[in-house]
Amino acid sequence: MKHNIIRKFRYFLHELVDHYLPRFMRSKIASCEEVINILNSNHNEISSTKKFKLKIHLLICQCCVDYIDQIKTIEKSVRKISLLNLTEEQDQVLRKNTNDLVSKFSIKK
Amino acid sequence: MNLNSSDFISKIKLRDHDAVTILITKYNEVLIKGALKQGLAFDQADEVVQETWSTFFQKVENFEGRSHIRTYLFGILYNKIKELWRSNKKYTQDDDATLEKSFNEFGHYLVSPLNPQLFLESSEFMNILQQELDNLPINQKMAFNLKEIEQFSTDEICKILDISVTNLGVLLYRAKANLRKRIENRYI
Repeated sequence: MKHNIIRKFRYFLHELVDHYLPRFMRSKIASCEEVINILNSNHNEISSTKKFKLKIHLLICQCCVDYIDQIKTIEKSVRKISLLNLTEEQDQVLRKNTNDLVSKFSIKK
Repeated sequence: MNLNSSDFISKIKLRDHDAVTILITKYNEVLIKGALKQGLAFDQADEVVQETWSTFFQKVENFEGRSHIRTYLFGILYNKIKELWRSNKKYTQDDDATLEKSFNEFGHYLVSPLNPQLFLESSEFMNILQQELDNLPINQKMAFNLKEIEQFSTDEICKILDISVTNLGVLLYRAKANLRKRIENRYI
């Protein structure tokens, strides 16, 4: 419930900024495209001005908040793929091949 | 045992039975799984990994231990996978068609990104993620897998893929943006 209210509020603020904020003030706030470019640049190279612009933008833009959350969700989920398990049959083939490879490439004293 | 010590590497160069056993036992499964995560079938993965070991033992004389042995093995493996994709004509150049036209002239989204909660609530999400990961252009997929799944450091990935840090940044950005967009398209 609270989450939904914050979402709606951010959408409302974004509309407000887009349509009613004077142009000279709007230029002080990063656009969504700029935000994505900032996020994808090297974190050590982001100036404090850019960091400030980014924080202000994320306060009023649900689109960018969703974008960042989507990327985080994907990154977290992708790590689960790393827990890939082999079938029993594949495991047997793997064991046999491991032994064959050792015999092929090693020299017994 | 430290697999990157000069002592161990010297033993590998001499094809010492115990050292070779330790190395192959430790990394054969890791390499097979690495190849499977690149979208190869088990038989293909097995074949590619066997070729990787052959190349490794042919080239090990020149290995100076400047990178970790795992990084060196993955470098060979990923080259073999690239060769395989090319020969199967499945090699796709980096294509950013899906990334174009995301923003309007003022730099705002043309279409608002979906609430990511939708992904988490969907039982199909992991399947879609796996499919779209397989569909990524090969260079993006390799960079993304090495970073997010294999969890190599930036320096190691640059060595494996033989690219600059800037280039890697671009590949990772494109991979994430492409993946996000492609997954989102499945939910619209």
